[in-house]
Amino acid sequence: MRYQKTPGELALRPAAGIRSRPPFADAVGVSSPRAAHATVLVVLAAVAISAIPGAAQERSGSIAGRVLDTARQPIGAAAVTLSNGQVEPRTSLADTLGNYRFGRLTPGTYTLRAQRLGFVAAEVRATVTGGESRTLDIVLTPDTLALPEVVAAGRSAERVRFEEEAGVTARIIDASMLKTLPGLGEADVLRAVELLPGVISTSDFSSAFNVRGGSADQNLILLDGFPVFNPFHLGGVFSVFNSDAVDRAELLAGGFGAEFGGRVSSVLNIESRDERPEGMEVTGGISLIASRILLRGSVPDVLGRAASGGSWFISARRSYLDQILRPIAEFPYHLSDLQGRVSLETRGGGRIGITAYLGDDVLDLSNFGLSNQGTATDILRLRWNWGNRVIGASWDQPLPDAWQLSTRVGYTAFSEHLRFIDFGDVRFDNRIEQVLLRSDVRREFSDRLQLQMGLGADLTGHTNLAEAGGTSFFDSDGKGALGSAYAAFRWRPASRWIVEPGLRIDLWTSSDTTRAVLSPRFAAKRFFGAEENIALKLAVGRYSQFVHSLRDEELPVSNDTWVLADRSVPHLVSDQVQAGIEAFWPGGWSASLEVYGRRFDGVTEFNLVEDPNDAADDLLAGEATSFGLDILVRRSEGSLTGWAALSLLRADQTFPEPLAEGWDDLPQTVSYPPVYDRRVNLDLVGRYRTRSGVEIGARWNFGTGLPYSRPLAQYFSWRHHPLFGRSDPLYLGPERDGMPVAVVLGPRNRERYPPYHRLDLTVRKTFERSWGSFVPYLQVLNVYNRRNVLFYFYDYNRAPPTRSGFSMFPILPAAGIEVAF
Amino acid sequence: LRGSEALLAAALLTAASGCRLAEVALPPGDDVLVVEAVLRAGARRQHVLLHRSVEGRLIRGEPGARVTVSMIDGTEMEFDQVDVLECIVGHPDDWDVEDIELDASCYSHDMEPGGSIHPGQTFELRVETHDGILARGRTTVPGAFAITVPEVTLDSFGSSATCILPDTALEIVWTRSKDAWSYLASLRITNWGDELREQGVEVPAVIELTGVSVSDADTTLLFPTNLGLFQRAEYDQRLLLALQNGVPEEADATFSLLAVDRNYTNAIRGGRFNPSGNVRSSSVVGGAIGVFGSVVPIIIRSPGDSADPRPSPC
Repeated sequence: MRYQKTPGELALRPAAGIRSRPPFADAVGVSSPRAAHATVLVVLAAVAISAIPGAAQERSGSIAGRVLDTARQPIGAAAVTLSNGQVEPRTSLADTLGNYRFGRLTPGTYTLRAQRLGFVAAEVRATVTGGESRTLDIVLTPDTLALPEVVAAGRSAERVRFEEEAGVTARIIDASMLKTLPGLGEADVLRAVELLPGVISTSDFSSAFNVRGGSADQNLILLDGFPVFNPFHLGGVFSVFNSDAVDRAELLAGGFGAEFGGRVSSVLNIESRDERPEGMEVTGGISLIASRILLRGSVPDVLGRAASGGSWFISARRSYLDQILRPIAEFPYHLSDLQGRVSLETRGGGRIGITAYLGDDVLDLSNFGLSNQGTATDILRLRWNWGNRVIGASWDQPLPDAWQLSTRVGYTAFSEHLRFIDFGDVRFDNRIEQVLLRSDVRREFSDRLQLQMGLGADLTGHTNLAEAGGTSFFDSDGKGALGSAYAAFRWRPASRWIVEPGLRIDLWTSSDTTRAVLSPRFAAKRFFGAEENIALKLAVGRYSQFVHSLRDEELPVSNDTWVLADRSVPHLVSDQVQAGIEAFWPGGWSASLEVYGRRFDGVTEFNLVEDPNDAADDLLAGEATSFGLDILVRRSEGSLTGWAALSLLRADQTFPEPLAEGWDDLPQTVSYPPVYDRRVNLDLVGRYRTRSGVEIGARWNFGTGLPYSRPLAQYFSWRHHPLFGRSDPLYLGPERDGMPVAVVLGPRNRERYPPYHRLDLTVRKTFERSWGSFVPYLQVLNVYNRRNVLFYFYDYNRAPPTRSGFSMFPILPAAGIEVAF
Repeated sequence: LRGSEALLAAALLTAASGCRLAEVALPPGDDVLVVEAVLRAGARRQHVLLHRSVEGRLIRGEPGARVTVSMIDGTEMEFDQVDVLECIVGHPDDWDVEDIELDASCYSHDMEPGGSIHPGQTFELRVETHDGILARGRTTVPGAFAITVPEVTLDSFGSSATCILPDTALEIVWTRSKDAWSYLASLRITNWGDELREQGVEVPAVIELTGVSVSDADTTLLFPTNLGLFQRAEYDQRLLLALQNGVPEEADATFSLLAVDRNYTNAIRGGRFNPSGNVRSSSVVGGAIGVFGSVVPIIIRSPGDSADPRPSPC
């Protein structure tokens, strides 16, 4: 990355303030732009090679296919048993795309029986000849009589991970639960994620979240597998995800396998709706915030041999206050989202998906014209817009010889622009964009051994510019290439054990540095109980990250400003360990308890006293630790579902203290808890469905106080008058009755705000009509109007001194309606 | 970008003004000694202002302190306590701040003829209060510089000139001041004239505009277009738009350009966000906070067309 403070040439040199370097930093001594290209080429070539199926075909045969429902939607976690009366029956659990496969079959006739809770089991027979790969889909019909309460899809996916994977901590919120969790005006997937164990939010005003002591930029937020760099509207008040278009959200809070890279704290994958409706469906809604519409339908079976149909949707959302108020007043802000997805099922049992998202926020004060009459100061006219662009394609395909291929290619970008209409010397721009390519292959060598490996290549670029008044306050740009490769085994050495060793290597090349991080991962799980419904698990691993957001998390709302690792910006390496116990019981009950410890090397903070003549000291590099305990008790079946999540956390950060530079008798570092160090966080979440179709959702959150820096005193604020050379009152910052004051802060984040708690309620009722259905809903945030503290204001220039402040949301009722036909 | 984020935060806070928390009384805050000391190259008199954190509207001082500034070679300048008005601009009675009781303590030192604060020198501050508090600071004065466009003839102190600035926009260029962290530009305008006022534009009697150049290598600014950056939400927009094209010929204008050191740059650019007020990064260590910085000034005085005799154009 090149930082250029001025038009002049500035020498790059390592930041004096960068005290620590993560392991492996600069281990590879390649530092030319060519290295970036070479890395990408090598990775692309390897991806291509990996997609080639095994050359040596065995003479045995195989049967593969998918388990589908009557709408030809895949049924994940269906158990498929193969038998022919001559050998031991074999069972395979269909993956989330419904794919199953049996290889190494001797020629003969076999019976396949597929079953899944909530569906009527089905049997089919198939004959295999030598060398033949049979494709056979099995369709299950819903067992509506046996299970009037449909099992939530999220439960099954969590159960699949419980049974199939050793280490990862996965939490899922499905679409139906999402709708009953109160958001701000309407359901919001990111605000729902905040209710999961290990996740905290620092402010009602922001849907950004922190996971297990990591900063918000350490969360990888994906839409159908493609990153969204700033998934928020209005600086974090709303997420960009239209709840009508969300099928489910899966948060991986720790213990990720070797296939995961790019961020160190969590992965949140928002999956779009993929089911295939019988005809075209229209879903719409209006809330206090925005109006939205979603159209979806089936792709007809007209694509010949390429595909056997599929589904599509397109959704749009826009806030409307600016339009409604237009006749009487200018309301300067609006947000908009446009999202679409096409999903095609290939003849070979695969699936191709294309996802696109386009979102914008616009704060437009450009039409506030200069007054001809007024004598007061007129409004500073500006236009400020920001938004994300995402497009990506995925291809999941079973291959011969028991291989499965999953490939993704995509482009994602976030940009922000601010202009003052009347003053052309102001430019605030920031932009990050990424082109990514991933390819993973998986093969089951036997019921006990599975191999997964993959390659990835990302090209990322950023540009950040803050110019005003003829000078440049911040000017950085850079590009980087990340090549990744991994391999992981899933091995069942005994029936009650799963062991997952894995290794990942990330090679980052920017314009002035190359860094390699070798990340071993290991997880093990031991099942207990007659039905193996209880398991102990352990996961350790190293994770790395090569992008940072400079967003100040102490501000309740703000946009991300991303920078890439380079010679002066460290990359982040986190070593993590977690252990826990999970259990599933009949009736949809499950529980888990996990303890974890994390160490982060290379966390960054904006250096507020950076030397403008030194391009390399804009960021401070430090280290952080976190450890804690998460408990989750959940019920996912029945009329009353929900969970209780208790999270205990202790987080700490240490950075160099640049103001102590040159004073040897002062501490050269400063340690403090980050603003998201909520020591105790409890979420109680429930959803109740009455027989009359009323759904009631409730959420109560309790959290111990977040840290803040307490003002100990205030002093009269002076400036050195440039002309007279003497002290002059400085009129900067909030004025207290006209008195300019500056603040004397106590130790950073030493004090704590009072505990936070809040109750939210949602009531929805679905009315079925011949033409479709509609769902009016009412939600109330902060039902008992708890005054949770957002900020304190200290006034020492009053006698006696006082403390006031702002609270977060007061009681906020909202209503809306959803329509589907 | 941080400014834009703060703007958004301020907008939301305003929207949330209905969420104001109840006010509670607090015990008195900490009693903190604050040092305001900015050495000015070429100035005949140097000042150090000592004051304590506020007690209500009272700004207490620190009388009886021993204030010294020494050079690396050990040469020491002793500062003597003088009337507080020596240290400040104007008089507190004239400030637009009510009920302030100013009891701060001013210390000054008269330099030898020619001055002994020179660009490039390093100085150390030492403040010892009568009750044993010791505060220290260290500053390196930025290097000397000169304005090259327009051509100006400086006085014998090398820090000021008088000439007529053009009434159109002008790019001002200067030489690099070694190790300056920023350049602070200021324009003070009086006698603007009545034309804008007659159009309903609010024109104060004294207009003060500020501009900044970040880093020692940023040695240009467009005059007066780039000035007023920090006043764009303060003055009538039509006045600021008029200023984009130049200062009227009839107005008196004083343009000052300061090469600013690390410490004063840090003090004026503000520190971490805190809702209770501006946070200044301290360059004073020990038992006090505050600033011990240094500047190298150049001042151009441009009298209006009523000046007699009228100086030559810059």
